[in-house]
Amino acid sequence: MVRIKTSALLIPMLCGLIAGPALAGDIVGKVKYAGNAPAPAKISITKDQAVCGKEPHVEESLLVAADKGVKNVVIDVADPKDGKPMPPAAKNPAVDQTGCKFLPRVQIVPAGQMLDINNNDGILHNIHTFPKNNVPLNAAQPKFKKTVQAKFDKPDVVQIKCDVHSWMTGWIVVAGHPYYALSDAAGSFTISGVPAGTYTLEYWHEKLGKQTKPVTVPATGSVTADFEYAAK
Amino acid sequence: MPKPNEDTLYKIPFLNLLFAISSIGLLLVTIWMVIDDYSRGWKGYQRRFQALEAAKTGAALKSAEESVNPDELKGLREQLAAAQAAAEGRQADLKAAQDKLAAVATAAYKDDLTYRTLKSTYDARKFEFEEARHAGSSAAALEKETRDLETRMEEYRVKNLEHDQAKAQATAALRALTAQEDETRKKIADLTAGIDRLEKRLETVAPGGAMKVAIEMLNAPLLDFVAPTRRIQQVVVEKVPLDINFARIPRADRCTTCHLAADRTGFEEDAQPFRTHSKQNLFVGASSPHPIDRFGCTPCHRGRDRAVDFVYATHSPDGAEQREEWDRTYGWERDHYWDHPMLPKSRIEAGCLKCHQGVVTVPEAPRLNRGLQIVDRYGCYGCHKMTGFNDRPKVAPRLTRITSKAGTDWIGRWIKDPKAFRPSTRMPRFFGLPNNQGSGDAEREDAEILGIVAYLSDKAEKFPTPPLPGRGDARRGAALVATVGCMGCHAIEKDEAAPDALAARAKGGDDPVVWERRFGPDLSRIGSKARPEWIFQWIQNPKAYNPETRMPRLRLTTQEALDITAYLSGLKDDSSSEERVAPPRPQPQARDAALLAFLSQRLPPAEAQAKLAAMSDRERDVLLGQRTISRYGCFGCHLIPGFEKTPPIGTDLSEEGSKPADLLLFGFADIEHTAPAWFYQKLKSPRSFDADHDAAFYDRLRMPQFGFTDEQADAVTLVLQGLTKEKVPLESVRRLNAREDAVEAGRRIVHDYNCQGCHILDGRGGAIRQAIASHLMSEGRSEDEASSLAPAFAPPIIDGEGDKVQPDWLFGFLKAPSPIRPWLSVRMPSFDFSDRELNALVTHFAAKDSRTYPFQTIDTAAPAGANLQAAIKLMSPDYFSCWNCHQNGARKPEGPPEGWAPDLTLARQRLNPDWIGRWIENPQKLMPGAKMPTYYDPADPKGSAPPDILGGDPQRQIEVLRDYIFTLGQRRGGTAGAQP
Amino acid sequence: MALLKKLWEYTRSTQVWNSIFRHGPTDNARNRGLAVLTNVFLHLHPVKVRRSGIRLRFTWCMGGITFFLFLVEVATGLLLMFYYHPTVDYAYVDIVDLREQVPLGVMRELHRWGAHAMVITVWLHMLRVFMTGSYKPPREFNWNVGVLLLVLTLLLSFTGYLLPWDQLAMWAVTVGSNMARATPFLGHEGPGASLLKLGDISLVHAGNDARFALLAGRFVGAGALLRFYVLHCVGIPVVATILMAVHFWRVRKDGGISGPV
Repeated sequence: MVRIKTSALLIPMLCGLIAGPALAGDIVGKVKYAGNAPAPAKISITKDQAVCGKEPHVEESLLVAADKGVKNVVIDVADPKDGKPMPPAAKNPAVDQTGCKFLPRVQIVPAGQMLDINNNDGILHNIHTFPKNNVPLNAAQPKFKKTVQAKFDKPDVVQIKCDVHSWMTGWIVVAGHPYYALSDAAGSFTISGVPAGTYTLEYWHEKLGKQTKPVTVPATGSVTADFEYAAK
Repeated sequence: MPKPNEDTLYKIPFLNLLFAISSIGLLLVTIWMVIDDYSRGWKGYQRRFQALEAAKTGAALKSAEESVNPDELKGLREQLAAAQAAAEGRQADLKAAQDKLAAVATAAYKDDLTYRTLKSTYDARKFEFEEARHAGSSAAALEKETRDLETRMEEYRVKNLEHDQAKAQATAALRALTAQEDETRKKIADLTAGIDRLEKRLETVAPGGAMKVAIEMLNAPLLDFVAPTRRIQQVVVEKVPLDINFARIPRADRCTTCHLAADRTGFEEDAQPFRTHSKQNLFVGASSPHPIDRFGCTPCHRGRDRAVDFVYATHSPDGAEQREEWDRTYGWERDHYWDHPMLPKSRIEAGCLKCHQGVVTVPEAPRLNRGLQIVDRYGCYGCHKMTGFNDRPKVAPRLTRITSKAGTDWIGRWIKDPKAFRPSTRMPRFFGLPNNQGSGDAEREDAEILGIVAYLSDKAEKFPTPPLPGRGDARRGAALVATVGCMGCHAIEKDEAAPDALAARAKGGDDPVVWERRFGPDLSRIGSKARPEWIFQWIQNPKAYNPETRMPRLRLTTQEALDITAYLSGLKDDSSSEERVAPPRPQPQARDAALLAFLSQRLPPAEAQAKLAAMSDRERDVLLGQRTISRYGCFGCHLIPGFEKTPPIGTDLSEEGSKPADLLLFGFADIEHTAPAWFYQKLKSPRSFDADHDAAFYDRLRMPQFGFTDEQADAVTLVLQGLTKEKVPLESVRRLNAREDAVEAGRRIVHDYNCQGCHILDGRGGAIRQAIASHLMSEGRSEDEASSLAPAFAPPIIDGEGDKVQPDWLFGFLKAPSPIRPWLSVRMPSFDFSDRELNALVTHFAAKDSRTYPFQTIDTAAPAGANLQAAIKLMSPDYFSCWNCHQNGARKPEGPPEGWAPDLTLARQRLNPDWIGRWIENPQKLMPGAKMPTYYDPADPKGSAPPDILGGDPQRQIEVLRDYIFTLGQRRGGTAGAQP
Repeated sequence: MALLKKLWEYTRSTQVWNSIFRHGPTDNARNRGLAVLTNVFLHLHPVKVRRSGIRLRFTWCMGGITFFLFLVEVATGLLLMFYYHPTVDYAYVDIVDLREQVPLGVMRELHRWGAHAMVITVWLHMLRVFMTGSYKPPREFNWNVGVLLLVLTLLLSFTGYLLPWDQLAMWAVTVGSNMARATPFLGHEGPGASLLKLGDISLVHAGNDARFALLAGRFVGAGALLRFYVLHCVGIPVVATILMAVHFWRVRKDGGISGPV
């Protein structure tokens, strides 16, 4: 079974399995990187050493596994025809600031649902979003404010940073439809319950950029859509 | 008497017939003439408008009727009927009450009359009594009479009071009887108020039956002097007179005869001529700055004001398609006899300029402003005198020391074709243009160019450029150029713009680099132009070489300057030899021939020859150069030795918009015979009007080619159309009050120094962000990330700066900038402003935010006791943790300066305390994209405030913070501009 | 019927009637003659005319048509005077208003076309008189009066041309009036003017020559407009009326419309 980190995908997937139309298939695949995996670069911790410097930080903008699989690639169907929005998750999706890192680095959020941003470090953080289609946010999160909530109404790819700790980076992908997936450490992903048809599949990675590939989803069963990024 | 001779020359019946036919014919023709004179197009439009209004009123009525609750109405009507029925039963009572009221009224009237009579008699008698008493004669009888009258008068006065009371009672009693009815009637009226109004309106606009016939009679020929409903509507505008046939007279704008809804709302979606005028809050509306009763229509739209016919009013079509349509529908033809034809809709902004003078931008006129901007940057006013540009500085650098900067063969190639070296240059092309392609012209032009070079190098003064004191690192220089701030005004377009975008621009497409970054020249090939020693000297202190320059200093260290010089010197002209323009070659024969032609204009041939023979080669070159410069007017843009006081050579364009097309030389050019078409053609290809003409070289057209894009030429044409000879009286011109004047004066400086290249001001600018994003991408970030991060690394948005900073601090800062935001690599440059400019800028910001200037009381009470403790606590790491990022004088936060926030001890000298409070409350509102986070959620400030400080009250918390921050640092004192 | 007849008879017997109509009702030669003779409008017209006088092929009726057009011009001109101000500020826009807004402003068109037609008919009349030899004795004096009337007609056209005050009017009159400065002795650029000098002082200069008198100024401006207006509406019509009276009177006295030789 593929490990999906975000709970937001479980529900629509289950719904798709239980109550979805019979004419729906899955897209599975693996995203690879043709070049060599970059050596993990150390990030120097310049502030709040006591909290942030507990564990060493490395550059995580491009994580390539031994078998060339790329982590944190967002795969989605660019042009779904059924117009269904992504249903809100039962529990608000969350981004944690723990040890001065955004966890998870990439979070998929349904459009219109509240995102919880939690400060587990007990020091001043702030959540500064850089959206293209949504209202930007720069909210302080001092020690006494454990959770800040943010809502994104339109589909978007939003970078989040902390101005206090300039190395902290994360990404929020606002989903306008249910057919999203995030690749795991091995680069594998599954999108379930996609209605049968031909679509364009988008692969987005924060450093490698966006690429597309056509895919045909069968009425039942699954189709494999592997992709390989060219070496940079 | 004999009977008269009945012989006639012609047969009488025949004559009778002729007479009858001609009389009837004459009658019919007269009737035809009257009908023809009365049937005018505008009456048809008014009829159509009436139908439109009727339809709209009908629709409104229907919806109003539908919106009324029918049950409620029914209930009320039933109530009324019941009340009326009840009233029936009490008819007798009603009559009695009415009779009583009448009786009381009559009695009151009678007694009142008696009272008045008594009073006048009393007054007369009293006068006599007083006279008699004063005269000393016996007044006893008079006195008695007077007193009697007084008593009786008093009696009747009291009776009047009683009558008043009785009347009031009787009226109240009557009203009580009809109260129910009246109340119900009032309720029904309230409910149906809208409907009643609309019904009345409908009767006026859509009369039925007999009324309709009556209206037609009222509007009939010859009878319409009585009370016509279809009339010409006009607005007489005296304050903006019309200049016609040597007189200035009030206008009588009759446009609203057909454009009946221009000043009424509700017709926004209808077809012309019945459409409401757009932007009623700005034009035509009673509360707009241009109300129709003061400005009419033609001051802005032009056209024949008194006409009420479509073609006669000189409506102008917008493009060839509309012209054909109008030709078909209205038989439209251009009217050559009216000097101020109506402006087509797309060119309406030209009408703004005659009243909105002396401003940098005209509000709500974007294309006009674009044109004004282009005129300003390209320096049209250097050759052509133009209203509004009379005291502008020369737009190009001075050439008094040019040989210290560039070599003579570069100068020659540059003059020959500037765009070949620098495609984005604003310097126009004088040579190699279509009207100089005859035999011998190319050689002569080469000689002329070399002459100019010779002249400039002959007259140039020496400017010392010492040798470089060390070696620079080009890579460091490249990084510096990309980050330290050069890219706010300059671009290196070969790195930034794709070659196909540049190729498209060469053909008239848009510029891929943003306008503000064209302020300084493109540096792509600067290494092939300027000597490294010159570059080194220039970037450290531009004003030493060119005192008029607007390029600032970036306070570079010597090593930084060496690095940048190394980098810029390495940017060479890498175009292939085919692309490069061939350098001008010496052409002694052509030179001598040209010189001879010049000299022969004043001297007879023999003397001219002798004079020429007596000159050396160099002297001939210099003389030809001088004559060429004089002919082409280079000194209009450049300060050239020997031509410092020479007046510009171009036509005065101050009244160009009023020039009739007949006065423009169209030559053989195949364009529309209108002034705007001529201007456009002239701007795109100035010498095309010489085509197929035969003229000696010194008689040919001289205006150089600027290579404007279509959009640029169109915008400048708009400006030219706006420059008319109409003199608008002072009371109608846009006069700026003192505050607006200050804003405009500062805005002029902002535009002159290209502040918007780095900063966002007036809602636009920040061009440097493009370059910052590119630099971030070159460091390895993705495009998404770079464009998201660029605002954080860009210079601040300065909208609201007047609200934010203290004016004398701003004065000092602009005079001698120092770093405020440590994370920025970009530096605020030192512009070396004059005091006049500094004051104008500071006043500009203060005036824009309506702050009192120049002196304000700036102080707050220092917090003490619990408040002080609260403030310190709020700033502590457990709460807002301000010192995590902000500097506190000598105490710096952890980490490198890139992570620091501004020094809070500066606040006392720099910021306005009320602004500090607003900033803490919501920084993102004041400066979107700022790195300072928002602590108090705007949607729920109380919920996001720490609950255990000062009772969790966000206002109090912000106040103590503000007051506390203001106590940090030094008190303001000493000279303005002193920095810690 | 009898009643009507009686009424008619009674009316004709009253003093009121007889003071208006001074001739009897019976249709005889005397009364026919008196009807014309005792009427101020008709009495310029002869009681009897020769047969040839009403032969259209001979007379073309051009004189009559010209007179008719003159009357049309007077009537339309009078109506136009209600809406026209002879000032530089208003002249042009009043014409525009007549065209666009004034009810029956077509009078302006009638006036202008009438003027053109009148000039044409007056030339045709002159041509006819010449072709039929109607200038021969005893009609030489009348021919000269006719020439004067021709000149007056052309002057009416000239003065009226300026009144619309548009570019055409102004420059046409400028060119036309410039000719006046070349008048011998009376024009400052004419022959002889340079002789009329007292030392350095010119007695005939641009400020006082015939052209100045015509234009009430040194160029066509407000003064010229007013002057031409007065000449056009009052001065020349009065003179023309007088001369027309003489002209019609002489036609009669010279023996009516001339018959064929």
